[in-house]
Amino acid sequence: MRNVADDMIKINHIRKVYRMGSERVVALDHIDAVVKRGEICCIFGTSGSGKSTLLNQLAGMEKPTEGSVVIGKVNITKLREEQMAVFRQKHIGFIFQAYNLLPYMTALENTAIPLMFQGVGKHQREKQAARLLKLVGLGDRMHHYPSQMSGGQQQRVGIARAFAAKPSVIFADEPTGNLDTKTTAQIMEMIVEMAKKNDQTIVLVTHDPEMAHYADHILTLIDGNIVRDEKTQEKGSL
Amino acid sequence: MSWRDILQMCFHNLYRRKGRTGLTVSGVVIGSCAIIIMVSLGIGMKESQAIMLSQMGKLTRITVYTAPEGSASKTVLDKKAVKQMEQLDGVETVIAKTTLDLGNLQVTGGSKNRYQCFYTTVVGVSEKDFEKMGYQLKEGEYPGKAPYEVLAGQSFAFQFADSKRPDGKNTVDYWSDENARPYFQPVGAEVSIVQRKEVPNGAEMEGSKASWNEIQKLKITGVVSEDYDLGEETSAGLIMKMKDLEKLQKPVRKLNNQKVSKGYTNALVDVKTIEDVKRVENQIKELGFKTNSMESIREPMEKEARQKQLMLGGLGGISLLVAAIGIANTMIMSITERTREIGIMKALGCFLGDIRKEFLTEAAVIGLIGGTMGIGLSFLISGIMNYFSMNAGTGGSEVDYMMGGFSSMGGGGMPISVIPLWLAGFSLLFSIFIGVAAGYYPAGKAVKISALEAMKG
Repeated sequence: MRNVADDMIKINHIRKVYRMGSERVVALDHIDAVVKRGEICCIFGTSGSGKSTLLNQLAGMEKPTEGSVVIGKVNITKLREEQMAVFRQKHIGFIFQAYNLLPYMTALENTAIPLMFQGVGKHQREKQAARLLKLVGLGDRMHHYPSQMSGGQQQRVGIARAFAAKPSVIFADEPTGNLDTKTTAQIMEMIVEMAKKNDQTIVLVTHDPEMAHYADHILTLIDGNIVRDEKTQEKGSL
Repeated sequence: MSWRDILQMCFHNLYRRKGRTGLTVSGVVIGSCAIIIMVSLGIGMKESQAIMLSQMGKLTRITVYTAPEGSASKTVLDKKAVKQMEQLDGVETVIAKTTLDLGNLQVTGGSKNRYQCFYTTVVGVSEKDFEKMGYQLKEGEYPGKAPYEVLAGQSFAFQFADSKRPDGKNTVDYWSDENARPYFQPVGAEVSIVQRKEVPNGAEMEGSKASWNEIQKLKITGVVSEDYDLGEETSAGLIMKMKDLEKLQKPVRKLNNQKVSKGYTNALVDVKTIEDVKRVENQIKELGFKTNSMESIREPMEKEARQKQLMLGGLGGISLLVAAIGIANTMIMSITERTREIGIMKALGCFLGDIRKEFLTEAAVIGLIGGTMGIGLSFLISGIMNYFSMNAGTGGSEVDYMMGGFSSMGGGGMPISVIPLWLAGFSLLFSIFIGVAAGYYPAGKAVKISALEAMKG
């Protein structure tokens, strides 16, 4: 039995073509897929397979040439930029490969950024941020600046930030790309655990086959097409 | 984002690039300082002009004359005309004055016409206008009810020569000697308007070659302080009651073979404010009179001052324009550097409006800091300039020379640079405005940066 309400992300016939001078480069050929609520979905592919382009379409960073993306009940390909900002504030979290913390803000302030954009007062948003930082094990580094932290610590701040506004979907772009193996495992376990707790959906882009261990839904891309769409039997491999 | 967060973010970013922010701010400091100093020089120039003019005479006074004989209009300056002028909008008082043209008559004093004055001004002013005129009594009192009681000018008594002393030693030099005393005390003295008749040679004894025909005795009841605003008679003349003077007109003119003209000689019209002068003067001219006021000097001077001020302000404006370009340049550089950050902010759901606000605020804060420091620096420079110009004396400092010598003309010790509060306030607002205007284009650029920038490794 398929419950439609459980469809978190619906990808309908997406096609993305870039113009490079007179050349037309097909980045995404024809993509159709559904990501369920609470799934850890891994988009897997080699460099140039179109996985990052797909993530950009899903997160509404750019509009597809054809097709549509529906998150929850909202067709985000139709949103204007200002509406997209509101949608991002409420429903989308981001974890970046390069952490992307703002250098002039402390860990606490960085974590609270999404709430600040929503207009939440300083006291309230920093209370929430502190709670999340403790959860990712940085309770003692709340007032450190990004430059005073290691890569793994910075990414943990990034994770806290992604979860701060309690989004329904979190997009992660090679979140462990810059980290060593041991830290990678810690970070991934943290992401999965936090997402499962609140039934949040994770869309993870990676070229690392190891990541497949944490996923319950794997989309494999080659040359802009999904060549394999498989669900693993056990949920996560914790 | 709340305004508090935007401001905090803006200060963070300005502080992060202290050096560049400082340089940009100093551009605004110089620009706003240039405007303030330039305009303040203009204001100082205008103020010293005004003081200089007021030293030359009362600025709100129009002197009205009958049009000269032979001119087209033949309006008589009489009671009716005075009333007409009194009713003009903005006119405070009108005082009619008639000058008695003594012609070949003289004024003498002492017994047997011992003291002789060959030239003096005799004017008539209506009794009720004595106080309105604003004569300052130095001694004695105003003329009473009795006819032919008069006021004398401050140095009237010094105008007499003593006929019993030899030529060259028969006058009192009151110019160089402060303690000089006249031959007779004016208050209470009687003087006479007389006609001197030459007696044919040899018919009389030696020593009295003339006979005197007395026309009228006058009694001096008081002496007034010299004030050229009120007329030269306050210096060396006599002031009579108008009705007495009118009675004297006929015989005096007859003796001088003059035609009797009707009406007063002139009228002093005082208006309420300087702004009224030009209009009232024109209205009086339309009535058919000749007029004279400081306006004819003041207006071209003011025009010139205004032109200079515009020019100076323009020079200041150019420097602020350069500062504005500096702000725009700094903001564009900052945005280029922060492209990724802006992308991250967008990816995390920051409103476009907030991004725009943040950058406009940064530019405005640069303008605000620069403007505030500019005001401080301007007061300092202005103070230094005034210090040197006031202590330079009348030798004419270089700054003074630059300003066309107006400050020294207005008497030493006049500030050459005046910064009124409105100028400081205006320049501050203008600096902020310049900042916002200069930040507008860069802010627009920032808003257009794509969220995809955040994804670039």
